[in-house]
Formats: sequence, C-alpha cells, structure tokens
Amino acid sequence: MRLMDVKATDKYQQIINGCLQNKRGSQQELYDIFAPKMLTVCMRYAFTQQEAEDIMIEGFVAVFNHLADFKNESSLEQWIRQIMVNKAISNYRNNKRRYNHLTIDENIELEDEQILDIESSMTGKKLIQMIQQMPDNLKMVFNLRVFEEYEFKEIAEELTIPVSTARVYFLRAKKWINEHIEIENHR
Amino acid sequence: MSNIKDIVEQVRETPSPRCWDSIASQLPAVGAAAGTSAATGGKIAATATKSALSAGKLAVIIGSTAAVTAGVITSITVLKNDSVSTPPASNDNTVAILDDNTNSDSTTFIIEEPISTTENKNIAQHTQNNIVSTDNTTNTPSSPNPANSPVTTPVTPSNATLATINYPMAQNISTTPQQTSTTPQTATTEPQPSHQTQNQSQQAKNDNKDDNFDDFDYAKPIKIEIPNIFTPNGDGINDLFVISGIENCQKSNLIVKDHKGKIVLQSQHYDNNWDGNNLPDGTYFYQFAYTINNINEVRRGQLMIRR
Repeated sequence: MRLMDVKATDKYQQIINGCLQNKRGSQQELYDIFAPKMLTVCMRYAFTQQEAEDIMIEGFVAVFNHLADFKNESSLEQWIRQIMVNKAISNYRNNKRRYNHLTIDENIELEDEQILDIESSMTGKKLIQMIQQMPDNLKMVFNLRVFEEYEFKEIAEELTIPVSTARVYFLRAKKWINEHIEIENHR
Repeated sequence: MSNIKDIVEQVRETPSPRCWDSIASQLPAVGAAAGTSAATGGKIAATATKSALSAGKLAVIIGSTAAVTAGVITSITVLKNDSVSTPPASNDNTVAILDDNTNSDSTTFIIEEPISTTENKNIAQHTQNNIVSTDNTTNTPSSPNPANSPVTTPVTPSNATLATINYPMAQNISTTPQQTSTTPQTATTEPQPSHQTQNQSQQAKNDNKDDNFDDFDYAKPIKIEIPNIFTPNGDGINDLFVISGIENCQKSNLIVKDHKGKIVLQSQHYDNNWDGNNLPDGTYFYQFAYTINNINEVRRGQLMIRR
C-alpha cells in the first residue's frame, strides 16, 4: 500500500466538492486528470483498447456515483484505481471465458514466486500489448500480483480459484512473459 | 533495464473521445444535487442507485417502491417549492418525472411547452396516479438497467424447450402505451437509456404514436430449442443431439457432463453432430453457451440418453 498523499487530496478536494454537487465541469476535470492513467490500468486487463475503455467507462460512472463514500483513507488515485481493478475483475467474471481451471496439487514446488521484478528494456506500450496477449487466467493473476500487489490468498478469493492454482498461474505467467520478452529482444 | 512495473506504470494512454461522452450520458443530469439535498432526496438517491446496481433484484425493488411512494409524494412539493432539483434518476419513474419538471432544459429529452404553476399541480396529480399504476402493474420499470444489456431471456431450469429473446424494442412498445395514457411527459422520461432505446423514446416523443415504431426493423425472436432426450440407437429418429436454431448463433459452445461431473463432450462450435459417443444410457447435464447478435447467453439443463 502506498502512503497517503495528503497534499494531493487537498488539491483534489475542490474538484471532489464540485463533483458531489454534480457539476459537469468538475467531473470532466477529474476525468481528464485520471483517465490516461486509469486507461493504462484497464488496458492491462483487457484484450483490446475498446474493452479497456468499456471497463474504464464503467469504472468512472461508479466513481462519480460513489464519490460521497470516498473517505480520504487512501489517495484519490489509489481509490479510483481500486474501483477500476474491481470493475476489471467483475468484467473477467462476467465474460466467463474460463471453463477449465486447473486444480493443482498443493505440494508443488514454488521457488521464486515472491520475486516480482521482471527486468526489461522494452517500452511500456510494448509491454502492455504483450500482457494483453496473455491467456486470460494468467493475465488476471499476473496483473493482480505484479501491479496491484495482491496476496495470492486475495487473488484466489477474487477469482474463485484455489490458492495453489493462483500460485502456479503466476509462475506460468512469469515464464510466459519472460519467454516473450526474450523473443522480442532477439528480433 | 528496469522493472516491468515501473515501466508500465509510466505509460499514459489517451482515451478516445467517446469515453467521456458515454460517462457523461450515464451520470445524473446537470444541476441535480447528488448527496447534499434534503434527507428524503438522499434516501431516494440511495434507492435509485441501488436499483441501478442490482440487476437481478428488480422485483424486490418494485416491491419496495410501495414503501417509498409516500415519501416521494410528499417530497414532490418540497422539492418544487425550493426549486431544488432531484437526485440522480435511474430506475425510478417518479424521480425521472420530477427531474423533467424542475429543470426541463438540462435533460436530453426536452419538453417543448413551458409548464406553468397550475399545470405543475396537475402533473403532481398525474405523478401520483402514475406511482400507483407502477405499483399495481408488476411490469419491470420502464427504464432498462444501464449496467446490463436490456435483454431478458426466460431460462427454464429443466425440460427446457423454448427460449425467446425479447429485444429491447418489444419491451419499449409494451410500456409506452401505458405511459402515454397518463401524461405525455412520462413517455419521454427515460433516465439513463442505452443509445438504442434513447432513439426510440425520442421517436415516441415526437409523434406520441405507436405507429412510429413501424420504421424500425423488427428482429424476429430467435428460438433456441434444446431437447432433453435423444436416442442414438441408429434407427434414424433422434439419433443426434440436435439444438434447433443453432445456425443463428455466432458462437455455440457446448459442454456435456455426466452425473459425476466429468466432461464427456466439449465443443467450441457445436454443429448438431453428437451421437452420444457410445456413452451408457442415463442422465447427463449440458451447458450451452451461445451468442446471438452479440448477446451472450448460457443455458444449462438435463439431457437423457436412451437407446
């Protein structure tokens, strides 16, 4: 978890108040500040930009409808981001593109699952494109673990899969991304 | 070389302009006080947002509107006197009406004639009537839920033979006459419609006639019939598991499991060609996921093989 960004919340307070009074101008201001960043977040979970934008739209509507619930417990950005992630997860659930989840033996060797660092010299956009191509199951676990820093237990609950499965998915996702980075580097 | 997370976090994507338009269209009308209005307003807002969120609980909310009604009627006068506009209109008919009366300029559906104060009272009467009528009829509320696609498909658990897809069109037609009979304004209030229904309701507003819907292409309801038994004994009758109407599906994903839950058939593009694979007689369970006109549906049911 990141530290509270006190100054930023002060800065946003005026905009938030405007949004609470349902002023279009403030809402658009808030949208303009966060949309590019949030679209990046959504892109990682989606297969296409279209899908990512749909998630973001849904997310922002939720943000504006529930802004009264924002309690300054985390930074505004973190709060909005969390909503986007939740929308992405529910999008994944609703699409039901996964039928066969692996059930994996608990005793499997899991050595380097704690290492989140994956080194690369590629550009961010290229990496996002690569993540988008990942199989859905792996993509969800990989995103939640690496970028949102969820625990495996939380991931398992969100995706309703066993914890061991989540771990194996993460390892596979890492292997997948490393292989593809390798391929790109040799190109 | 640096960490993948840091690289990706620095990326900024430019969203296409349609994003903001879409968001703005789903937000409550400009000038509507969201949470800061009177306590009654806040309560309505709470129920409204709740109803917008929970798709499957529509029936429950219809039940609860009876309880809310009293509060709504009293709040009409209060809100009007102060000329304070209403909380976000979503599924509640009554809220939507208020919205249009108080600031008719801001909403997308502009009512042409100005409303004098005496007319306001009349409308208040009408709204009361309308509230009663919506309570009595167990129809779904006229506005489609924004979160979900406005399609209702009856899913019969077992012995399923018929599923008719009701297109949004049909839903709208059924609700419009009732509304036009009370007051013209009610027909025009569609709080958060999807683009398709938006056009329709605007059309309805322009002419206030049902004939107007003739201009639209009616999509015929597509029937997907899944049998619950077939007899693969080679006599030429019902030898294959045939889902009628499957040719209309863009995607047809069929999974059949036996009574232990073991998958005995998995087909991405099922083509009515399964002959039972010499499986023993008995009951099996199918899950048929299909897509028609970009609408995803899943149907599950029992399936018997008897030779």
